[in-house]
Amino acid sequence: MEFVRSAGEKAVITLKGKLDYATAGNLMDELRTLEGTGIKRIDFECADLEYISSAGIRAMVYSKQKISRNAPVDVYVHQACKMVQDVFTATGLKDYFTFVE
Amino acid sequence: MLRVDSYPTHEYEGMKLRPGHVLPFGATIVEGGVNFSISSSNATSCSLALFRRHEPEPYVVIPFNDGFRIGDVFAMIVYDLDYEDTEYGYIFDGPNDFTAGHWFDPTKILIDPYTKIISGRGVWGEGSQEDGELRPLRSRILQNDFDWQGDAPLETPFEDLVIYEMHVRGQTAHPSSGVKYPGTFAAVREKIPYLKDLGINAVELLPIYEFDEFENWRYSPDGSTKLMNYWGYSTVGFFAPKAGFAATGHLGMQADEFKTLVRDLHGNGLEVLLDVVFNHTAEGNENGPYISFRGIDNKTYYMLTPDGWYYNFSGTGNTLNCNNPVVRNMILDCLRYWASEYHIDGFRFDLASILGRDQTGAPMDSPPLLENLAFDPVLGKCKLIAEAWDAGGMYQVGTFPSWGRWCEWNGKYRDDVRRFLRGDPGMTWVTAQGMQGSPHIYDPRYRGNCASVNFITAHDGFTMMDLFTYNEKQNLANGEDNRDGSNDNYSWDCRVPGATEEETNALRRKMVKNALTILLTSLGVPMLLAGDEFGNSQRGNNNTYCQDNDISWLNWEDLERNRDIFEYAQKLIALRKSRRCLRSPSSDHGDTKNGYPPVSYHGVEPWKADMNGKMLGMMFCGDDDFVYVGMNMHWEGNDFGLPDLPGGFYWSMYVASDEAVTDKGDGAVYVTPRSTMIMTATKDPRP
Amino acid sequence: MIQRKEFYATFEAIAEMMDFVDGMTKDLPEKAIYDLRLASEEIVVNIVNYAYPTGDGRLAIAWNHDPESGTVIAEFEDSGVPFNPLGYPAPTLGVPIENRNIGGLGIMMVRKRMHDVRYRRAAGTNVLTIEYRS
Repeated sequence: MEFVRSAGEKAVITLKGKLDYATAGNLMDELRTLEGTGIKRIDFECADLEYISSAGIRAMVYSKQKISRNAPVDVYVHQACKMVQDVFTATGLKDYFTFVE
Repeated sequence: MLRVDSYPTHEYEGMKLRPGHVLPFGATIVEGGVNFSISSSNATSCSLALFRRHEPEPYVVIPFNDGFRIGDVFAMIVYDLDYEDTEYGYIFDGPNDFTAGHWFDPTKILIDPYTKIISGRGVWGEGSQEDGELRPLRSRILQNDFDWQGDAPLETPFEDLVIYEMHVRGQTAHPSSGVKYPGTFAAVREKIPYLKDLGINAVELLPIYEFDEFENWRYSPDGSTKLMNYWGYSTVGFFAPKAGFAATGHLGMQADEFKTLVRDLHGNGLEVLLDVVFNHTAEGNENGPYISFRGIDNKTYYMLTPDGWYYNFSGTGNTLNCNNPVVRNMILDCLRYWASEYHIDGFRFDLASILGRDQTGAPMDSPPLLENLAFDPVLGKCKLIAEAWDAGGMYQVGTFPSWGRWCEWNGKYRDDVRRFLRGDPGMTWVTAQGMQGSPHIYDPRYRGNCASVNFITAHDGFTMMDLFTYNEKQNLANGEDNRDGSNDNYSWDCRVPGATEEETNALRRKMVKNALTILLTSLGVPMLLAGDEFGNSQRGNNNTYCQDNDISWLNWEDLERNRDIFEYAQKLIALRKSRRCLRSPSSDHGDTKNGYPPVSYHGVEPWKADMNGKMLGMMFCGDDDFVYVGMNMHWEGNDFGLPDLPGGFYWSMYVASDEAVTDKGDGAVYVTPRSTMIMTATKDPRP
Repeated sequence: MIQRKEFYATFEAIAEMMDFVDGMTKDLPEKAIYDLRLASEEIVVNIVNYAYPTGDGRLAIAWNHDPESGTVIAEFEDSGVPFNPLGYPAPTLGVPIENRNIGGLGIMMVRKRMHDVRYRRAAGTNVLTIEYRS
């Protein structure tokens, strides 16, 4: 998982492989560092994300829910494969993020 | 008294002849000569080729001239034959037309389908292409003059049997067997005291009809071993015992040696059942060799498609045309012969569903062959056991046509009990059914109480120890990239988290004991695979059909290593024999005199079975006879409450698969994880 | 292919459980591999988190794949507190919000992806069965 922060307002996180029970905690740790920084936008680069489970989704939902408590943050999900997108659709959380092909 | 018809009437190249008797078929010694009789519905001519032993060419070929044929039967008496030094074969001519199903070829010398002994494979594994020229298989003439010394088939009630499934060669071929003639009938005879000591009372022999161990032989993938047809499910002669299984086979004494074995098994109270293969022959498919049937009357003996191709319901290339009247009669003659001349007590029919298909392969409602066998007077007391499925998709476990005579290898019992044993939840109800003879499959009103031959392992599949050692088959040695053999084994390698290697091995041995507990306390007829009583392993190979080596052979050193398993099996068999309630339920008579049902289910609390769970108590009751089998397949230990007994009866522990199983003395037994135990009750002898 | 394996019901053992599942599904279509992994992960994580509040326990997976019909039936079994995940929402009290099962997300995904999901309480064990046809 790569994590790039730029200009205080924008962060790009590249997700690779599996975002599951084992790796979601790491993502959560990364996202915690953004709390209260005034960040406005998070971009998840998902071209190489093969798999996501509810633990992974929970971490992403967290990024929006908790970080948005003070100031709203926009979350973009880029180039997620169909199977990953299906997980979001099935859980009714697809509209919660902005999906970009 | 001199018979007026016992002199020759014809002569051909110095051979004295006479038109023969059409019945019986085959070569029969008669006054002054030998009567040869064989039929073919489609042949135009037939000749008899006579050889001196081991000679490559016949010394005479005698045509059956006009007057030597009645109907479709060619019959002739040849006088002054030295039958001990004679081999014979037939030459048939007729149409050779693939589409019409005719394969006549006058260049082929064919085995007599009714031949009583066959030469060419007199010593197991000798006489292959590699040793020089592959020896031809030839018919020989047998004098049926064995001294039975008063022996007769035992007619043991079916429900009293404990069957032991055995490969004649595999039983003693291993150097550890300590016998004089390893791998032979004579050697099995040497093991009779062992079999008696174990307590079984019937042996079921894998095919002993003559077959060709060199059929399709090849080297193993690493080039170290010769792979052969070891199991022998590929018959060359239905009436002939396998010469290579006899220490005296090279002398042509195989029939006598086998009869001696049968006689002595009987003398020790053991019945003899044969695994018979009437679904196909060794002639294979369109590319197979001419051995016998194909050249005699292809269209009669085999099921053919309308275009002349072989139907393959057996999975081996051809399908014997069992419900053709000629073939049906041959099968009947064959079984009558084994029952009467060899005193065989019963038969297990390989892929028996094929015997219920008509000549086009369609399943029949009342297959005449099966009905014939069920009601034949000679076979009237023989056990008839069906492997109630075939390779063409018929699966008839529970529905095999029975006429109250046929029973079945219960493949469902095998699968259900395996799953229960390894701890799959929800197998309690089916296991309870299986332990009372599977009435959910075999309606006792029509099938009686022993339609089910219960088995957990058989030659086809894992051994019991391997069942609890391997998750997957290990068949690479068979040279088919591990594709052959079943994938559905319901096995379990007994690896539990945190266990050491030693603990894992201990669990495996205990699981074998658990399996034996269930098998030997189930109603129906138990069948034990030879070697399971001492934890024999085939190193995970679940299809050892081609392994004539220590993968298949019983390693008798395991008997000492696993003495505890052997003694456990012995104890269970002894219990079964001494307790009528474990063999014959009195369900058709209602409750016992004490008011108990003959079979009842229990859980950790008496009379409360949890059919979703992994713990089961089964109580079997006779009039003064109580046996309780407690089975805990959970990974946690549990107390099992015992059912109350009538006044004066007390439970005591008969055996447990784990020493830590404890009778707490207050009507409860603590059963350790994955353990089984048996309680029995008798009247307290004290006043 | 019908296999059974037992594990400690601990977070550390989940990787081993997922390896077992991956081994069972390796010859299936991509979508089936995904769906079965997802369902299995949700179920085993749930068991590890909630089945044994007072200590270590075990978790067993029995995997049954019939290649002819393409049907997979897998059973997940624990001997922990009786709990039917199909019957009630997952317990959330006392769990930090980020660990909270958002609206029973996991079990919902199991139900959506599998053709059938069944629960039974069996003599001391919880058994959750999933059925999938690829």
